Amino acid sequence: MSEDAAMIAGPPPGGTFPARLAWRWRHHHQIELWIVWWSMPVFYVIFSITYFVLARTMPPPPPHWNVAEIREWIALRHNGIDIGYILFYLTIGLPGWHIGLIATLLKRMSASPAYAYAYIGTMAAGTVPGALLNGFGYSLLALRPERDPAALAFLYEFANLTFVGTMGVFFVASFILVVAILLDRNNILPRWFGFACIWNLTTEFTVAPAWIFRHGPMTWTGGISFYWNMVVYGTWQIMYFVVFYKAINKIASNLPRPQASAESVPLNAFSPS
Amino acid sequence: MTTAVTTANEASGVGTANFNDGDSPPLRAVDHGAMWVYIVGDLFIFGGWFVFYLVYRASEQTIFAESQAHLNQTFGLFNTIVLLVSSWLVAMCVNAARASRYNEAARYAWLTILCGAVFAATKLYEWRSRIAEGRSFTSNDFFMFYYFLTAIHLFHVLCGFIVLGVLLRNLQVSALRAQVVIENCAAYWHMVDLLWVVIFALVYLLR
Amino acid sequence: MASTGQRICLWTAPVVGAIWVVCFFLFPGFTAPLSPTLPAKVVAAFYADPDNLARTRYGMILFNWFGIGFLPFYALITVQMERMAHNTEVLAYGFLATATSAAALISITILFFQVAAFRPDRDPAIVQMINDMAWMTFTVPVSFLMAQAGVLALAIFLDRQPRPIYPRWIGYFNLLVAALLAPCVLASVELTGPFAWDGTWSYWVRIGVYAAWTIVMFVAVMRAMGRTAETVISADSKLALRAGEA
Repeated sequence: MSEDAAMIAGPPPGGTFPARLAWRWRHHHQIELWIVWWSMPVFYVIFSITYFVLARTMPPPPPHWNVAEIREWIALRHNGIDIGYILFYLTIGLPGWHIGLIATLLKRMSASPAYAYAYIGTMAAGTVPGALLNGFGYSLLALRPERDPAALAFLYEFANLTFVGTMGVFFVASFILVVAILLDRNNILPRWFGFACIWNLTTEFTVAPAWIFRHGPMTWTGGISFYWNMVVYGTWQIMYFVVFYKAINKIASNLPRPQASAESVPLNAFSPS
Repeated sequence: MTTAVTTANEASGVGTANFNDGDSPPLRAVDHGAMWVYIVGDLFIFGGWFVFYLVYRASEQTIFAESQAHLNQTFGLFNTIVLLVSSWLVAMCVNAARASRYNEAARYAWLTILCGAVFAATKLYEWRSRIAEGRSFTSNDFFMFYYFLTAIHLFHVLCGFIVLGVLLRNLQVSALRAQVVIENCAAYWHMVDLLWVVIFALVYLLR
Repeated sequence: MASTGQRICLWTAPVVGAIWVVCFFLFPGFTAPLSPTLPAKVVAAFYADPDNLARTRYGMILFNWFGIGFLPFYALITVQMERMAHNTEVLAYGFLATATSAAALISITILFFQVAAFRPDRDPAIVQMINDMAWMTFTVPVSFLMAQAGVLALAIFLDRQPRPIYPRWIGYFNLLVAALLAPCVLASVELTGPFAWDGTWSYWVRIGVYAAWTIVMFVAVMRAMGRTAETVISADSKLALRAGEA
């Protein structure tokens, strides 16, 4: 059976799950697409476990707490922060793979390949302040609970503000998606999703007052700047996964067998015979 | 794989784009649904903010009522009328385009843009007046909502200029014309108008 | 034939590497890493000490200039990855993205060290905090390096052609690098021991692993570039070959 036919036929029936995975590793032509794709749900599950179950730093505590309240809150979560963020630190590199996947999709759009490269640059730089600094802030709070009050307050605000308030990166990344999708003639992603990315863009405006207010609905834990924003962002994120999953399926089914690169051709293939 | 940089109008369905040896069909005329998905979502998002406004207003009635009195109702009314007129103008534009009177439609589109500019200028002037009086974003909850809602709305108006620009290009370049795009752009502008009317009612008028 | 541009990218690696070695010996905190258990006053005294201050400042300025200096080299690896027998550029772009994130982190680390040395008479508790942040950002975010090595390993294993761009053992080597770097994340919770940010593993082993990785990849990239000079293939014969395969 030729390799192409084998791949179309799929794994032999009746095998165990690991056996099917092993078959796919050996025979699937676009296995790299799927490995990279699944790295994202894996990351999000670990991310959710870190923030919502172990460390419980999401939803964030309020900005108006005094030092004693912060210390008490950290003490309650000390072990959770330690373990949860270790998991997080081990896996925060995975979104980088996913960025490559999105850039590949963007490259296939009829709008300039510059959009793909801009997306790589924006998001690769942005993963850093977006989540990692939050982790460092909390890890340092847990590492030295007896820290000077001014330093403690700084780290507390640093952790929360950098997480909730990193705006420009996701603003520009959403903008790139909007323009690339709306200009695209190749129908890689549906047009309605291009418009939906504008909602995500808007959330970056709504969160800006978190840098100003310590009370009310527009703080880093406020009703508007955090909770309603999370509703919008969460909805968009779900749409994002559905839409990209379909797009990758479409691309994967259209691709031919991987071609060997030029250098892999044995020299005698070109000798006259 | 085509590498030409296209505009949104070209993407509206004129001409064909093939991906991967012509496996997928040529792009059809742009989906009406796309813009309406956006409009409905945006109205929903704004709706949430309006609910927050009403809840905070209910719990701080005196502050809200007292602060509201400092807003310039005349400006608010003027802005509302300007936007309502602009909505009417963009509707006339759509009608003219339907009847293939594209030059006339383009004139209406320009007038709509003019109305939008007048709205934006008035809004900025109004903000400057309030700030000069010492009433800024951080003064109290009412003014927080006032600046927030009007600023996000103004952002939508600025995006509206881009949308109207797309509309104009669509009208002026005969190879790009598609009635669907014209109607989508007009629908966006109507949404902008509708949002302002609600903001005006809630923030300026509601006592 | 490897282009001049590619060769320049290649040779930036040893030059930057040499400069990093100089930075290592300049900053006193690198040759003798500060223990996390030091009280604030001692940390502040370290930065304020006139013997240390000049070395820290100038060492960090140099490091600041060349901190992301390996990116052209990583971009060259990206280009070589694009020549692998994959259907898509996903893995190459993933490599570039993770390399960029790692570079962003190094920049931030250096900035923290520089701020710590900027005002010698600062409140010691604040100096300790800045020092903490510097060491955290230096030691803990190994995940980007792990993801970088991981995606390169994945790409090498999937590069199924008669003469792959990199030999297969480099893939295993990259997996080993990722595994060896992983325990450094424990520096976020440990104040003492081998995994604290001044510990044997999180600091010395980690530096050794990174150096070994850079050297091995340098040689691998150089070999992969050199090979293209052996087989000169015209565009026509490539097309003929593909048509013959179909």
